[in-house]
Amino acid sequence: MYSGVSPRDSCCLVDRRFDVVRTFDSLFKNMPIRIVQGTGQGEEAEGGLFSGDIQGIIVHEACLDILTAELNRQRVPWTYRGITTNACLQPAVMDLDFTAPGFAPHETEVVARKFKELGFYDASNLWLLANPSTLPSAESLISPDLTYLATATQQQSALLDLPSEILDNIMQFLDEPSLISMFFTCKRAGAERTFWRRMCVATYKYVGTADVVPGVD
Amino acid sequence: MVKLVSAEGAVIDVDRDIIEQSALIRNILQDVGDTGDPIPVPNVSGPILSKVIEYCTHHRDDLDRRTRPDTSLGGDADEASIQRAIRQMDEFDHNFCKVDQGTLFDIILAANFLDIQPLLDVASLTVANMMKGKSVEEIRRTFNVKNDFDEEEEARVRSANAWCEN
Repeated sequence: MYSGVSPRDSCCLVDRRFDVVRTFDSLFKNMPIRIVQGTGQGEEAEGGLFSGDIQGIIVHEACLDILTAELNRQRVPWTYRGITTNACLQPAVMDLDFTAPGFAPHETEVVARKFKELGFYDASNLWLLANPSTLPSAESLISPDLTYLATATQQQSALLDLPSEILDNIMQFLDEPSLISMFFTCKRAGAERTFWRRMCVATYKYVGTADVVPGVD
Repeated sequence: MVKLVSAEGAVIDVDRDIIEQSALIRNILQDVGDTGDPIPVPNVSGPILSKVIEYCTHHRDDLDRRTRPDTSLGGDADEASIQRAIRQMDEFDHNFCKVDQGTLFDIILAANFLDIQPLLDVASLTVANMMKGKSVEEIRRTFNVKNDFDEEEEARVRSANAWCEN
């Protein structure tokens, strides 16, 4: 039994024995969610992303690192709202002009193609779910030269002059709107090494293990 | 009793069970043993060290606070542990953090150096609360952040991240 949390306000559990997700989200309480994508290598997604069902995308924590590395590079609008709105406003941002180890461009291509065909993309039925199955560490998947390094400094600001690990500790307490405001304050804020990971986690309210989900045995 | 030496060389006595909330000091005492020799804390000034000891003294019996899941990168924070940290912030903690911004950041740096996670959480949460609900310009003013985008860059960033502002 693995756990994840919906991008809205509550939690859900992924039961791989039956490939279903049980949710405690206020909007979809106790409604089963079909898993549409596994994490095993070569494992194909079941069903499409556009069938209208409520669907859960199972990701490994390492995938978060890959996704957020891409967000650092402003390549992948991989947030709950970003998938839809950036697809409308910046379709080219989904184009990958390189091969990232461990990152399949398949999904972004599918989204871009479907968006072109349908003219819209509804991400409201997509959920990001944690799956602690074994995968290589993110460091081995992400080429160092693909990750963004912050160079801009803010020597006048005591906040942004804090070491990265402390800024990260502060950012974990920020919600998505606050992180967005922070992003637009200056170059340094958005270039912070863990910024997009925190944004991703804040958006999806990701959790890792079932034993920390309140009220769940 | 443990003797700590602040950045200025001031010696401060503190009960061992109090200062053992610092993982750094606890590890030193476990590794070296309580020899009675003063332990230097070169990164922390005397006044800030006193504040840290004030915090640890108040929470000396709160054993539940001393551990929580690792929230650093690679040991991702889960929502429940973050919520627990928020719930655990009591009236003393709120009043403790009612200090000027410089002192608050010094406390954060001291908590990070001494590895006192609950204090780091309390101070970090206070900073986060100072940001919540604020506009970009308000955050800039609050934390003296210089807008280093030129007009063209700002337009490009806003365009590329238009979804953020929807």
